[in-house]
Amino acid sequence: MDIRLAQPDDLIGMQACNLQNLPENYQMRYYLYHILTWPQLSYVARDHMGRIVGYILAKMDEDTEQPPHGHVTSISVLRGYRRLGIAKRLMLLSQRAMSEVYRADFVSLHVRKSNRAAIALYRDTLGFTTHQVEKGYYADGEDAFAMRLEFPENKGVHEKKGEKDR
Amino acid sequence: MPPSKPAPLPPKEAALFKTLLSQYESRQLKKAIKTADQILKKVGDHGETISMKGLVLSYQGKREEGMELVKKGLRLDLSSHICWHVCGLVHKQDKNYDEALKCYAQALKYDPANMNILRDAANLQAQLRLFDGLENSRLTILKLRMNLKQNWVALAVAYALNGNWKAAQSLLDELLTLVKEVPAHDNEYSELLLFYLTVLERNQEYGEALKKLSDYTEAKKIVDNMHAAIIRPRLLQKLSRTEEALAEYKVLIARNPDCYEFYRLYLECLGLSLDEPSEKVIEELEAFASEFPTALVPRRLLLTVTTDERFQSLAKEYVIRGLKKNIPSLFVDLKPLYKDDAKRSTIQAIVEEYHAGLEKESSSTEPDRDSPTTYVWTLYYLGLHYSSCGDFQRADEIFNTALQHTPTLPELYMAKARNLKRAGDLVGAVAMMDAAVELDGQDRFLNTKCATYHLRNGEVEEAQRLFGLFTKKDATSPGKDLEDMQSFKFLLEDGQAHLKINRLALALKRFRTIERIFSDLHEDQFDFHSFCIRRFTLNIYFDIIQWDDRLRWHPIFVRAIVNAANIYIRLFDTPGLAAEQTAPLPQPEEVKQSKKQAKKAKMKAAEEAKKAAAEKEKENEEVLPAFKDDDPDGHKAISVEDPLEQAANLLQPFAARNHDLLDVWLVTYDVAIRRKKVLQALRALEAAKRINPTSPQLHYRLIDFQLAVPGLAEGMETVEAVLLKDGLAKLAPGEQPPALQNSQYLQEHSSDAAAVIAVARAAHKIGSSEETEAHLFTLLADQISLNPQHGLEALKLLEDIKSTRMDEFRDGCKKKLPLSTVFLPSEELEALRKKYKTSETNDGPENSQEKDQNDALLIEPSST
Repeated sequence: MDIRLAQPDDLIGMQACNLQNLPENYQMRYYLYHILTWPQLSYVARDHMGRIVGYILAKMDEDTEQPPHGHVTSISVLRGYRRLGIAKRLMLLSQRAMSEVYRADFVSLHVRKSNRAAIALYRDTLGFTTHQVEKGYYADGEDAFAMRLEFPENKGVHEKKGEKDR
Repeated sequence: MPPSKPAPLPPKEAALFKTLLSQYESRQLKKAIKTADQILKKVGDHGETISMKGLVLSYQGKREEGMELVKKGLRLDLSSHICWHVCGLVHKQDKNYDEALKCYAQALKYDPANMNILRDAANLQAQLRLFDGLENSRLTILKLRMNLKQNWVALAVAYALNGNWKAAQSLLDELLTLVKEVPAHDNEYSELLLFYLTVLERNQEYGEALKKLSDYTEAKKIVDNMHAAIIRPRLLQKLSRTEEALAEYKVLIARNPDCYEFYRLYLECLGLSLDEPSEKVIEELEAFASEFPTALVPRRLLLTVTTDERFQSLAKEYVIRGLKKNIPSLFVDLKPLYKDDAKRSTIQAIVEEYHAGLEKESSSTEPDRDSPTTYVWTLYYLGLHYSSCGDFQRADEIFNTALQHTPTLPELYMAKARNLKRAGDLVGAVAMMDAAVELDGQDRFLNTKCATYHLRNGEVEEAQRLFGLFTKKDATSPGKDLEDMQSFKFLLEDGQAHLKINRLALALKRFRTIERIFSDLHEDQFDFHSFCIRRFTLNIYFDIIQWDDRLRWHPIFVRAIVNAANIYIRLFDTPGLAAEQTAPLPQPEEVKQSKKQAKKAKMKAAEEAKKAAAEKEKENEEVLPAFKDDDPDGHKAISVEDPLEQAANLLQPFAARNHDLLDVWLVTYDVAIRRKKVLQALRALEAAKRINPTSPQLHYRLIDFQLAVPGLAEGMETVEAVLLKDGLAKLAPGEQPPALQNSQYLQEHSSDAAAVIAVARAAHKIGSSEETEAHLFTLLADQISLNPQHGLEALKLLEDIKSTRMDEFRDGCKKKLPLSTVFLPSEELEALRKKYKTSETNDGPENSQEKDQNDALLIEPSST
C-alpha cells in the first residue's frame, strides 16, 4: 500500500475508483479543477501495481460568506481494500493540509444518512459532529448529514484579519 | 500596401456598435443580433458589424451561417483587428487552433497592444506548445502592463516551459525585489515562492534555494509545509549534506509513514536500494517499523528485502496478523512476493499450518481463540493462493468449504467466480457474481464487477441492465451515462464484449469513443493555462502540462487504438464484412430491451425539447457546441471506405516515436504490410524484436513478412531494396527457409502454448494445414500448461483450416481444464446458461429484480 499526494498521473485512476464505488460521479475536468486549484488537498492510495484503490478529493469551500473551510468532495476505498484504515489515513492527511496551507476553520462533508460505516469513521474515529441534516440532498432523495470538524489551531485567525481589513 | 480603411460609422451607429460589443461580452446574444441588424439597416456593408453578427450566431449554435458572415465581414474590412479577432474566435470554437492563431497574428498587426487578443493568442500558444511564440506574447503583455504581478509570473512560466530556466530566474529575481509587504500566510505568494525555488533548483542553485527556503519558512511565507518538507531534504542531498538530508527525510516519513516513495528516497540518500537488499536496508526498515507501529509500508517492505528464516518469521507475523484482522486484500498485498518460489511456498506453509490449527480448534470443545470469521478469511486466502498457482480445482473446493461455513459473504462468491473464470467456466463465474450481488444489491462495486463479468461472457444487454441500477435515471441509457461520465473501463470492456460476440460496429464505436474522450481531456486543459496563472498554482500546472503530453501513452488509450486498428484490419481482409455487420438483424432477445430503451429515449427527447424551449426563452443563454452523437450504433464508423488508412492514421503518432509497446508495433506491422509499406513493416518488426525477440506473435509475423517480401520487392527503388535486404538479414539471419525457421522456433519453445499456436499459424501460412493440426494437438500434451484463451484460439484456428478433429480437440481441452465450460459446443453452453438462470429465478419472487432496483436507489454503498 502506498499513500501519496494525488498527482496528475493518478487522476484517471481516481475517477475509475469513484465510478466503481459511488453513484455520485464527475467528469475528469472536475478532478483536474480540484488538483489545479488546491494541489495540496487530494490524496490517493495505490496498490503494488500502482492502481488507485482509494482516494480523497478535497477542496476549499468557495463560499466567501463563511470563514475559510475545507470540504471533502468525495472519498472512497475499493471494497477489497477495507479494514486497513485507508480512509482514515487519507482524511487525516487532507485535513492537515487544509489546516496548514489554508488555515481552515473547519472541514465539512456530506454523508448519506444510511451510511453507518462512514458516519462511524467521521464521528467516532475522526471527531466530526453533525452540523445539520440536509433534506433530500442526494439525487435519489436521500437525506445527507452535513458534518463538520473544527480545527482549533486556527480558531480566530481569520476574524482578526477581517477586523484589520475593515 | 495595407488594405484601405472603410468609412467610419455615423455617430448613432457607432454608439450602437459599442452597445453590440458590450452585449456580446455579457452574452446577451438575442439583443446583440437585434443591435447588429439595426446598424446593418443603415450601413449594410459594415464589415465589423457583419463579423460580430456572425460571431454571435456561431455562439447561438448556428455555426455555418455564423462562419459565413464572419468571413464576409472580414472581406469587407481586411484591416480591422475586430474582424480578424472574431475570425480567430470562431476558428477557436471549431478547435481549429492553427487557423485561429494565424487570425490573431493578423489582428495584432492592426492593433498590437490589444490585451484580449494577446491573451487569447498566448493561451492558444500554450495549448499548442508553441513556446517561442508564447514567450513573445507574454513579454508583450508584460511590457504593456508592468504593474500586474500576474504578467510577470506568466512570462516566467513561459520561459520555464520553453526550457529557458535562466531567464525565468532573473525575471523572478526582479519581481521578488519589487514585491513588498506581503503578509505572512499568503497562499498565492507561497505558491510563487515555491515555483521560484523550483526554478533555482533547475538552475542547480541548490545552496541559494536552500537558504531562501529557510528564510521563507521562518517568515511563514511558505504555507505548504508538505511541499517544503519534500524539497528540503532533496536540496540538502544535492549539496552532499547527507546527515541533515537524512534527518529531513525522517521528518517527511513522520508526516506520512505510508508513502512508499519517501522510504525509497531515504534509502537512496544512504546509498541503499530496495532492489539490492542488504543487512543495512533491513535494519533501517526495522527501525521505521518499530517507530511507526501502525504504518503499513515498512512492515511490508521488510518482506520484500528479507529471505530464508528471517523472511519466514516476519511473514508469519504479517500473515497471521492479516488473517486475524480479516483483511481482504492480504493476498493481493503478498502476491508480488510469489515471483520468488521459495517465498511462495513459505507463505503457503504458514497459511496451511494456521488453517490446520483452526480446524483442530473448531473440532475441540475449548472456547475458540479466534473468531469463526478468521477461519473463513483463512480459507479465502488459501483459495486465492491455489487459484493463482493454477490449481483451480483445489481452489474451487476450498471456496466451497468456505461458502458452506459462511454463505453470506460476497467476497467468497467473487473469489470463486474469479477462479472459475480462470479455469474456463465463464457461465459458472457469472452465476457466482450474480449470487454475490444478490447478497448486497446496494454496493456499486459488486454491481460493477458483476456487470463486467457479464460483459466478459458477451452478455452485453444483461450488463447494461446491471449498470443501470446505479447510473442516472434520466440518462438515455446506462451506457450513455457511463460514457458521459467518461468511464474508460466501461467503454473498453463493453467494446471488447461486442468484439467477442462479433458486433464489430459497436465495438469500433466504443474504442473510437475512448479516443474522442482522450481528445476531450486534452481540450479540457485549454482554460487552465490562464487559470493556473491567475491562481498562482504554478508547480502543479507544470506537472499537468507534462501529464497531458504523456496522455496518449496511457494503457487504456493504447488498448483502444490497438483494438480499433484490428477491427479495421478485419474490415479490409473481409470485403463485405461492414455491410454484413450493419444489416438490420432481428434479434428477438433484444427486442424487449430496445423497446424499453426506445420508450425511454422518446421520453428523454421530449424532455430535452421542453428544456431547449425553456432555454430559448432565456436571453442570456449561450448555446455551447455540445457533442452530438450522429452515429449511435457505430454503422458510420464501420462503413468507412478506407479502413486501412483509418488504422494507419490511428497508429501514426506511435510509429513516429520510440516506444516499447509490443502490441502497437505488431499491429503497426499488420497495417503496414497490407498497405504494402515494406520499410514501415520492417521497422515495426525490428522494434518488436528489440522489445521481445522470442515473442510468439513476432515469430508468426517474421514468417509472414518473409513470405510476403518476394511479391512486394518487385518494382522497388534500389535504396529501398538494399535497406530491405539488410533488414531481413538481421531479422532472420542465416537465410533459412521459413519452414525450417518455424520448426527451429518450435524446438526452442515447445512447452509454451502461445509459441505452439504461433508455429501452427505460421505453418498454415506456409501452406501446410496438416502440420497446423498436428502442432495444435501437441497442446493437449501433459507438459504444456494450457489456459482457456489458448484453447479457444487453437480451436478457432482448427475451424479456419476446416479440421475434422474439432470435437476431439474440445474433449482434450476439457480433460486438461476439467472445470471449464468454454469448450462446450454453443448449444450445450446455452443450455447451461439457461439452467443457471432458472435456478436463480426459482430462488425468489418473480419481481425480485424490480425490488432490488428500488433498494439500490435508496441506499448508497458505504463510501469508506
